[in-house]
Amino acid sequence: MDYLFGPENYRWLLDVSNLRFLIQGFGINVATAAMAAVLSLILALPLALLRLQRNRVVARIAGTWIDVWRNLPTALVVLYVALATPSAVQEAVEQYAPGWFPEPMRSSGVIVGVVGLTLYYSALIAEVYRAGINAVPVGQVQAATALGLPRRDALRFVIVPQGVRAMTPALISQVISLVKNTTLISIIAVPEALRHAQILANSNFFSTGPQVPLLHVFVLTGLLFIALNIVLSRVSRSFETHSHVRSRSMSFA
Amino acid sequence: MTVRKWARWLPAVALATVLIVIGSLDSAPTAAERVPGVTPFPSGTAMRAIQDKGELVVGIKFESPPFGFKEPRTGAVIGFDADAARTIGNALGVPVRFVETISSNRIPFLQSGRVDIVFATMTITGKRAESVDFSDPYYIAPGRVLVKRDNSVIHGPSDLNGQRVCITVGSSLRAAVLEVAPRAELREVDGYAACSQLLSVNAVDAVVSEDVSLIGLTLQNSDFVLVGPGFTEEPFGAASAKNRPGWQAFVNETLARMKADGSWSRSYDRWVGSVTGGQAEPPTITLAELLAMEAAK
Amino acid sequence: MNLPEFWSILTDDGDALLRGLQWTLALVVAAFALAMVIGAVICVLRCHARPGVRAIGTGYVEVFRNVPLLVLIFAIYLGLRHSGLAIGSFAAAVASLGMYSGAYIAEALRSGVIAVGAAQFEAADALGLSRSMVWAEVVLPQAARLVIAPLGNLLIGMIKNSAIVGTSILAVPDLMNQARQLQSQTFLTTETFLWAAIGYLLLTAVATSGANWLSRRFALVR
Repeated sequence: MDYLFGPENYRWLLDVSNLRFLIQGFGINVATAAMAAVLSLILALPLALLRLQRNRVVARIAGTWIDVWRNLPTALVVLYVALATPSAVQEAVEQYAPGWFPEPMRSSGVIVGVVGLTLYYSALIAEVYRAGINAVPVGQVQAATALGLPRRDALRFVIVPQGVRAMTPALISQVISLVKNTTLISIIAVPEALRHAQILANSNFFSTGPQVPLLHVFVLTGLLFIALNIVLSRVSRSFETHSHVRSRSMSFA
Repeated sequence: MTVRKWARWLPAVALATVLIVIGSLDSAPTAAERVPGVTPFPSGTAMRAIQDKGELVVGIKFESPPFGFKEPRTGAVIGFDADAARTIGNALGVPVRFVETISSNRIPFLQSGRVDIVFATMTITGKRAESVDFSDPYYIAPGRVLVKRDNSVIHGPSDLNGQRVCITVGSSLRAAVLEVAPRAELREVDGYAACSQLLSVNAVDAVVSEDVSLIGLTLQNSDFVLVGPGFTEEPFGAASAKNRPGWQAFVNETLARMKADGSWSRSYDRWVGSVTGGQAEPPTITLAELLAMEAAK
Repeated sequence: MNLPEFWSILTDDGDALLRGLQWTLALVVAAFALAMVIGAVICVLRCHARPGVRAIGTGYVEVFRNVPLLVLIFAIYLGLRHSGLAIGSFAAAVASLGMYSGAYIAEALRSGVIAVGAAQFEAADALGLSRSMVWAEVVLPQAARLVIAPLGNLLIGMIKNSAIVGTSILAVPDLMNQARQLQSQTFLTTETFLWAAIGYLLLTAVATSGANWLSRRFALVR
């Protein structure tokens, strides 16, 4: 009990460089989440449209792809991509990362993590898009046809925008899940928040400055994530219109 | 209360601003070290290639004090391994750039040329010597056992059978522990802090590591105590890719000079002696002798 | 991807993988049971008359839906052990996964409760049932039947999240853990992970068909 609440275990908080180090690690998570989110949101749309194709073969293939990735654990996908990417590819990535990328993000671990997360979340988000597109009132589709719009334009200008807009809370819920799953890249030795927390705890060795207890720094890291995700869900809530029950944001993980 | 539409982004912006401000406070930049007046090596040698490149890329652990550690507050890489690496860099007259290596990528990084040399608590074994070239040992780490003060069962390495033992992932002591106590229940975690935590909550019964790391843990937690004699000696060597002209001889010469001119002892006192309170002589055994000994076992 | 080696994993290490599958199953079943209980309790808290009680429920949901599971595992395992409770690895895993999923189940049940509607509450009240009986006998059972499909999704989510336990410091030898160990010994990355993937897909397929069957049998449609 002493360990949990004793004041000497909280003194490390007063040192701004400790906090800065933690937040820099957290920044990697945020950056990874941002990259993976943008890629997933973009790539999921063609995937969803493929699923909705009239051509049954194409729709089946897309459907199977989505169902497989959706049902696999995120940890499995991310870890597999990280371990299976040949080191030659990883080095090439590190060499050719654009110069304006900040230093910690040029590590192959981040890129590989983004790839893994994108593979997973593009499938999940494709399903969200599909639900949204299917939920667009039939009247809209009929009106579009009545106006003489070819199916492609009907999709592009009428159906998809409405469908996606309606699903914004669900999309943000997926982004929140993505943010949480960026912690998985700590397993592939990317210097993100959890790793930085462990490093801070390991720095006790040199005993310069107050002790940093592992549990406390982990809890603080958790609070950082909670804060970010709460902000995201507030944003999401502001997109909800009254006709949408909160159960929309019930997509899991 | 009417809330403007853009106001919904305010919490996000506020949080982001706070985080960015704290996150971008400048840490002290690490100065590049360059030793003037070092003569260029003959062309065709690996040393000259590095001099021409302008930097020595060293693979090192960022999370293994006191050998390789990246100080979170300043970003500087410090430790015994770091000192040894800088000695090599100084001998070449080029600054050293540290790259983090963990146990699983030490050899791949060398083979692909991503790093020039590895100083990463790497134990010399005959098997590894097939893939990389080792220097003569630059440090001998005795493996010890750490337990809680009130543990009456474990008095030494041989008592570890059936006990839960914590070691760090990729530790070179894994094989040694299993040799001494084949029925020990090993639990591998990411780093000393985790092992220390597990021991302090009795999730494991003992921690096995090099003596200096364990002594460091006892300094932080008076509940911990080392028991039993050192049960193994892990010789650390600097690893390099094979077939580099003149490189091995150069590294060994430089390390020998480091041992002879007192800088080895200074580094030892600074990183190890300050923790253990002990002294040690630089290892004199050569690589060849070491590998012969191992082969004879 | 090496086909003969792929099949050889089955013969050489099939039992280890199978054990991992069993551990995962045990973990998910136990955690789901815990999560249902927690979910029901939090759901009741969320719909309480007193705002203070409601705040507790809302606080729980906000914290446990927004925290990464890896961090939660750490905090629960070490935090509880430091306060003297000698919780084991498996128990900590069940507790973490259960508390985490409990927040989501609470939300799912809550939307079901909203759909059940105030009329049921009032009718049960009028019949003289006590508060706890109203909840336990009338409202929650109907709410659960309304949201079988989302609950099925949450179960699948739990199966996936259980893999995170296998990558944490907890010594639970679940399927993910076994796959990682196997991979680090044999370096057959694609082959071992493919088997693990098959294992998880099997579990989710069983869960999905189970949920579908339950849905057909018990679901209420309003």
